[in-house]
Amino acid sequence: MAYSDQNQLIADLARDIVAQTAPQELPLFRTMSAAYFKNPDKVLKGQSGKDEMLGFGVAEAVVMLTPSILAIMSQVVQFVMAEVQKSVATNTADVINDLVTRMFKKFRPADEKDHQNVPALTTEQLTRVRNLAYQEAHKLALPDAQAGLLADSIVGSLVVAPS
Amino acid sequence: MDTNSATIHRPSRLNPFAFRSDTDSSFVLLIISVLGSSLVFFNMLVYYLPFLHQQIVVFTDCSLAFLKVKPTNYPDPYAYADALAAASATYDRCSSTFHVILFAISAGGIALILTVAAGIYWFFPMWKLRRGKLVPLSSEDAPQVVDYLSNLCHEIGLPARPRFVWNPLNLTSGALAFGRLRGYYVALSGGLVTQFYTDQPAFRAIVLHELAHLRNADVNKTYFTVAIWWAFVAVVLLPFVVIVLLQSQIAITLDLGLRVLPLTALVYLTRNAVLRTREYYADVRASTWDGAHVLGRVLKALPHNRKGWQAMVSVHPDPDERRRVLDETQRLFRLNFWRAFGVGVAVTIAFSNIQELVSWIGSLTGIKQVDFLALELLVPAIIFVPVIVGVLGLDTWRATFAKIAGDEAPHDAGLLGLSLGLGLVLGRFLLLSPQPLLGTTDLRSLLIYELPWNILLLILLFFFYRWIAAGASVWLEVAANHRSPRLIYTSGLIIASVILVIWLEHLFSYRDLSNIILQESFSVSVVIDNLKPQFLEVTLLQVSTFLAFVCLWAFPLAASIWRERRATVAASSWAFLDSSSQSARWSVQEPLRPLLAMMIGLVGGLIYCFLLLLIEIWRHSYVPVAITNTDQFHLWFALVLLTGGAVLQAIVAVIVTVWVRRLGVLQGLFAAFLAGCVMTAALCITNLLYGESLDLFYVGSVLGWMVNGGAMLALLTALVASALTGWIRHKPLQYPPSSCTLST
Repeated sequence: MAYSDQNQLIADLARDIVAQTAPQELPLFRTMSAAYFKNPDKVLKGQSGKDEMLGFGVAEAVVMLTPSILAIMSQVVQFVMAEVQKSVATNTADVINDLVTRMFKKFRPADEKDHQNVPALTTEQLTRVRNLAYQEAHKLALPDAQAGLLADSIVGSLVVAPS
Repeated sequence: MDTNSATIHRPSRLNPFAFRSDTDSSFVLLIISVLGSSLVFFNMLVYYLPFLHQQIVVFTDCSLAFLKVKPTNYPDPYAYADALAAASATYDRCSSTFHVILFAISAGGIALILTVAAGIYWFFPMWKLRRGKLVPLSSEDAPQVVDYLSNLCHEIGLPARPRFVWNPLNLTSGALAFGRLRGYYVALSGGLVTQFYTDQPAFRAIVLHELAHLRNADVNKTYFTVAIWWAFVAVVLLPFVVIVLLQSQIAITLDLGLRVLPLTALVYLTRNAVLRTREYYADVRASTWDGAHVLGRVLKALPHNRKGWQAMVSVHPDPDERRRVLDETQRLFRLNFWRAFGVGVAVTIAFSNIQELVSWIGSLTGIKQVDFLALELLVPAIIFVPVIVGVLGLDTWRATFAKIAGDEAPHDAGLLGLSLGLGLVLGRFLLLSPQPLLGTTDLRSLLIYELPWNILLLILLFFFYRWIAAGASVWLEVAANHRSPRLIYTSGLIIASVILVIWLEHLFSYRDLSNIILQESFSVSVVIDNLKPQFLEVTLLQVSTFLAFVCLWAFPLAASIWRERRATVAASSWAFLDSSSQSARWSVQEPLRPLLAMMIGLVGGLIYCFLLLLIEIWRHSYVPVAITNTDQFHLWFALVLLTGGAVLQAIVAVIVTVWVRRLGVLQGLFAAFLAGCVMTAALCITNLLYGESLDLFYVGSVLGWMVNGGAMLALLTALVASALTGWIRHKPLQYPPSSCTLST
């Protein structure tokens, strides 16, 4: 998958999670995701307030979910890509890209007939995705409840294989 | 305190916007201080430019003529004064070329600073936008927020709508007002925009605080002051440091460093103190639109400021103090003695430099005096006194208002004057210079020669600020029935400025003159001999002296004309912030007694007339003509009549001071003035009756000596009488234990 395509996919998916979990951050999403893909560490690090003339005062940074969601979603997409690569014979980038994209409900074809051709993750793989997201959220110092909510939202965005 | 109280309706918080902001004058003072300080450097610069070396040698030789003029070489002060004037004329001719160069460099330098400052001010918003990565907040980004902000500006009636910009990557919850004339911005952080959705009242409170900065007109003043400061650093400080270092003159570098560092620190700390004050005003303004509750909650969430020096360099006050001020706006009315001290230091430095500039112009144009007032003192006094009075005089009015409104413990405005005086005196230490420059001084002059004048300055400023407070207390009662106190306090401050300009001009003139004499002859009697003619023949006879004394009593007493017309004390709409039905107390003080003072003054004058008549009868009936026709008799006779008049005026002033309970000294002065006028008229009429000539010069001289001389003596005695009366009135009565028994 091309780097820009992958980033676009991460951004699209992350935006949906932001809309579900922190809708107030949507106005910032476009700029913040662009900045994140340029320099993830800088965005994740955040910044503290300054004592500026005619400002309101030295404010502390507001805890934002968007950078964390972008970071977690990057990990999840990497994981899904690796899983897809293992399961298919071809290594063609376009095919893998297409398959990965279609593994997320957001990009799932509307036509019911096509559903059979959509690749899906197994329950075990979904559990691993959840764990991955949950641990990543913890690494980013998100509280337990929020980490769990994010992990569930991400798992919920994936297509589940029929049992 | 001789007051009683009337219960009236009182809303809860005092209105700090009823008075023009005291920080406006502080900004002006900062700008003038920086410009004044720049003159020191331009002046010094001349000494380091190689192509001016020859000019400096010639200029140094010019002052040799002065060194030969010593007071002990002349038979009387008049001859000494003539010799000084001649030496001064020679010096002016000799040094004119050098002064042209100095003036050109200084004027050019100031013009350059102002140009650079204007450039910085103009381009600063662009730099701010770029550095803060600020982009316009568009409907595409946050349509609800954009609509909300637009409505908010409309709701509060902001005259000029700012452009809202934001940095979505700034995750703090803050905002910032900046811009330039007709181009204002309010920058929002990304964190604040998200707060719109999570805590809209907090978002509103923060934005209103920034809009309050615009409403309070803080942006232009703040950023122009900053621009001036950076222009000073770029145009003056850095080039000068480079030049001095290249010269490798360590002694001069250290000397300059020792003077520049405190000055720089003073300007910087004063600027930040002013900025901190603006934050209080922005908070209070925002609270008038939306109440103080939410803003208080948001302030509570802010982190506390660090303590110590970091608090001094901060441009925001501690959030807890901001919350306190929101609830108790009377805290904004307190006198700040450190600020008064800082104003004194800053004014001394700038004053001296402007004095020097004016003296160069005087040397070039030949215009050095106006009505015997030295222009080199008068011009800087006219520049700086309104600023001093604008800052500290307005503070005094505000503190008096808070005191009358009963919300603040009274402060002695005299201490404010003392703090200012100490600043003015100690500021001269920063002027110590190795160069033979006019306006600079050495340690010996400062500590010994100037000591009496410095003490006099402290006394003068102590009573001057008490006088401002006294005038304010009377006039604020009149202002209570007006829509705004602005016209009244502006008039009061203008009058106060006129008086202080005159007093300072005289005081500094005597100080400089005695300094010159003492440099040549360390004898107090020589100094007194030389200052006496100046006092008797110039100071006492000047119209400005007369004007200063008249203003002293006329301004406070004029309030009685309006004061008498109102029957009740009503709550003023301007006095309080929030309309409320709470009851309030507005101190009502003792009435003034101008009619009584007038009667006592006239009686005093008439007694003098009667005594004069007796003396004249005695002179013409019993004293031989051979004696009365001598110059010595004329001199002594005039002296007795004038001294007697002054003493009688002093007695009149003391009687009124003791009799009248409120503003006794000032009403005593009024009585003395009336008595002095009657005495002057009596002297003139007596002169006419005995067939002597009567011209304008004679009338002016008698009026000057009698009224001004009498006023000086009356002022001194009335102050002493007032102090004694106050002490006796407030002295607790003590009875021996045995007297505490009840008799039946």
